[in-house]
Amino acid sequence: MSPNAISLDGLTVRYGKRTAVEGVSLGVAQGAVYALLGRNGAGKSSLVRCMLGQQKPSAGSATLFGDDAWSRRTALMDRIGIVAEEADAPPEMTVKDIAEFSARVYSRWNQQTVDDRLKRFGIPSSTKYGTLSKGQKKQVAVAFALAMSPELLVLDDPTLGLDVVARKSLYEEVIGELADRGITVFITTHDLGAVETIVDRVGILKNGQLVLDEEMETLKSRFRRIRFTSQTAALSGGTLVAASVRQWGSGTEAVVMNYDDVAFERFRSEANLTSADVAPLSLEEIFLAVAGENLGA
Amino acid sequence: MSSILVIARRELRERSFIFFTAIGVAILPYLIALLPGASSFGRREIVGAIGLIGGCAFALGLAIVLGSSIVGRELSDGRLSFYFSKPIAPASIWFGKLTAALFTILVTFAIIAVPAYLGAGGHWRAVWTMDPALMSALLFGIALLLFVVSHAVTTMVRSRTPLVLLDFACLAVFAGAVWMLVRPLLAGFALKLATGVVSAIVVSIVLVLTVAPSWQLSRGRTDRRRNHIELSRVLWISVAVILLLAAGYIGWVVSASPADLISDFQFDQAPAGPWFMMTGEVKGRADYHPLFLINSANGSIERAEAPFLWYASFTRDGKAMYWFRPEGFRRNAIRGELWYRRLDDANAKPVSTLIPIGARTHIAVSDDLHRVVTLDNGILTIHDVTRGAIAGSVRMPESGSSLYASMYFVTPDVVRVLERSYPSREERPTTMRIYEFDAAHRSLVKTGEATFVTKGIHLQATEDGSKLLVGLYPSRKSAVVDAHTGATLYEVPEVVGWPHLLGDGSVVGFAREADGTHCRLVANGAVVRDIKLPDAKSTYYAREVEPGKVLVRLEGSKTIILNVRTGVIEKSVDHLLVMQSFGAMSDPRLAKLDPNQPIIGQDATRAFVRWNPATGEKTTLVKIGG
Repeated sequence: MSPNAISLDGLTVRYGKRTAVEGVSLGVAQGAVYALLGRNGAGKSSLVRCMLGQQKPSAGSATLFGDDAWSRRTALMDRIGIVAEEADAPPEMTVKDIAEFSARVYSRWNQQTVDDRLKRFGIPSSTKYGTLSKGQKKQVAVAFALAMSPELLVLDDPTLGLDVVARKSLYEEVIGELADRGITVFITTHDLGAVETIVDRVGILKNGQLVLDEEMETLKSRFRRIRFTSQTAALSGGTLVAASVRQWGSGTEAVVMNYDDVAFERFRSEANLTSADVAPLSLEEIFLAVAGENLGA
Repeated sequence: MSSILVIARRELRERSFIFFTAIGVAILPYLIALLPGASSFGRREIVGAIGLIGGCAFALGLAIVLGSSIVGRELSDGRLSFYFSKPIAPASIWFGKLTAALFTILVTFAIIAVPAYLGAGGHWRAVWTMDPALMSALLFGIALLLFVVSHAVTTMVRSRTPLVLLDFACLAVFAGAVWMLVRPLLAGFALKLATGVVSAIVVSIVLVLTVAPSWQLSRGRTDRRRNHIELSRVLWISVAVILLLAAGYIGWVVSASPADLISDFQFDQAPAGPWFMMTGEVKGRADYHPLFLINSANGSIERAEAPFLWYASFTRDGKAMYWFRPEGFRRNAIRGELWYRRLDDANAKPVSTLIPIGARTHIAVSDDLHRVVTLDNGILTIHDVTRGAIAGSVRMPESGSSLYASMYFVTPDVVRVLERSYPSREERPTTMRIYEFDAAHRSLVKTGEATFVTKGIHLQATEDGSKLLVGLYPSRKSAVVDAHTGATLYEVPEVVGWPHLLGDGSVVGFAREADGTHCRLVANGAVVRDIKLPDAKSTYYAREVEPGKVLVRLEGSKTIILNVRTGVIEKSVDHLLVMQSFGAMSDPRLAKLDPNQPIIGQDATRAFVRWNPATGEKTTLVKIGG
């Protein structure tokens, strides 16, 4: 059995007295598309830096394809394409210079991939990197990440600054195609609607802790919104567990995190509800329910 | 290796504008040479001078700028992840950047300096005496130092953590430790060794700083704070190891015992009492010359905290030893204090008089060390050692660094100063001016002067200071003069050879004739005794041991005590090497030995021995070479 593409084991990052990431353990199987969600400051970037061997974790470990990310970083980076959150290429270099530089350091390099993508998005290769717009920089970074034929693609908030067309291209064409080719994709994003249809598994980081790590399908099946004309207390008596409960008109709206039809029917009959609507939740709604400010830890 | 070159190439490409800037700077010397009035200085000289100064300044400035930015800026801007997200080893990142930086520095220097060198043509040598290749190598070394130091400082400062305070503390400790390490070498006047040790420490630290960033990036990667921690860790641990090694080496150097002396022996015997001091070259210790103070009565040996023999003397009463102890440099000149140790107290420790002196300060002490006179930069000062106060001070009428002075106390309050020019390259009229300074009455009186045609004057004074033997060179003429007025009492006949003044004002000298070596005694200008000595390869006068009796070494034969008044060899001993008595610092008076004490010398095995002329007994005191 081949090892996970990504394995984090008790990963902890501290900056002085502040803990940015605390004991995160997760695994991403090879070929899977994994989305790590979290609000700003949740610890995503620290986690990604540790995962890529750019920062030593305070405790725990990160392994990529079974190798320790910190000690084997140099070799591992030849297998991993990275689109960083912040543009980090030297601003004085032209896109062409960066491509030439990258071609020399990677063992595999497909310049055609770069040329095609730059042409498609109208980015001249003679332009200095520093003069590109935020979105263009992302496109260049994506092009380079794909050109080295990665076995794992790490996208750290890749849609930041991208227009709608570019976003659509990234998610539907790039990630979709990579997933089809069995290439592992790890993505951190705030664009939950876009990744909802392409990710296999989702993790939610809140205050440095991984509060959710689950297959997308399972996640969506167990989260439901229930609206009914009854007292909120009625829900607490059953087996359904509410992630959030609020007044909805004269009735109640609850987001339950362990929905199943049998439990719901039992609840409805026990609560003697004449009217109750059940609706699935989008990833964004689930994220808000789990990581939203009003829910507490 | 290929990654290093890829990184270096990238860096060079990014900074290619620097080379164009250098081309602009290279044109400047030619433009300046075209300015009106430049021809009066010589246009080619201007091109050579400004070109090289500009090249050096540009290269060294560039070293600082590149050192402070080549990693530090990317680290603080969060752009170092560009490299760490690629299959590039941290060592390749650092050495690639280092290679590019050094290449840039050297090439920009060449771009500016080479056209200036060619433009200056043969006038280059008129402006710069240093060999161009050596100059380039020196520049490269300094540029590397500036580059790596800038990188280290920037990494520390840019981390914006309180750890930088710890670095400053470590730096202060380091500076203090280096001073503490070098101090015993300076005290031993081992200037070459001290320079060598400091150079070795600097070179070692530059090497550490050249390699340490590789470790820093390997352990710190994109984390600014961790980069600082790792660099500081490897730097200060390495510095501690280097200092420990230096301390071990210096500890070994200063642990030298008399048994370690191998050659270049020098020793001096106190005019009275059992003490003598000895020094010499020590195996493997370069110019470190430990000085040992030895009691010939009981054979005890102790290390004198004094530099080698030229800067240490016994007082004329034999009850104290004093020396110049260097403490450091000021205005490129070595400075220190006058120290002393009482010899009449076995438990006495070295004590500083707190009198500041430099290597060119003229010093003389009273017979009992209660008073010290110094002449420094034209200021004559009498210090009262007992009270720790200045008894009197005066500016000499003619002062300057070209003046040389001999001095001695005529009375505890009165100092006689014999002032003349330093030796010149050609024979010329040279005037010796005689002053007497009375500290009690704050009066400085010029009591006499005498003029001689000579390159330089060598002085000896009788023990009571009343007469001077003035030796001139290279003519080898000499005369005995009145020490108060400078009036010539008599000229020494040339047949005497190199003369030595005796206590009564007569002169003794040795001359090699066809039939052997003759010793001639001169009184009032006439040879009053001519004594033929036993055959010897050469003859060395040591000192007067009793009135009219001189200690003479006949090399390859024996050492004798010769009564120059009677011509009789009164005592003789085989294989005893005795040294000529030195004047004490600036005091020209040669002390004669207490007639009751034995004579110290070296035997055939180079061991230091005590010879008692009265009994003929010879006792080994210190063996040399284990």
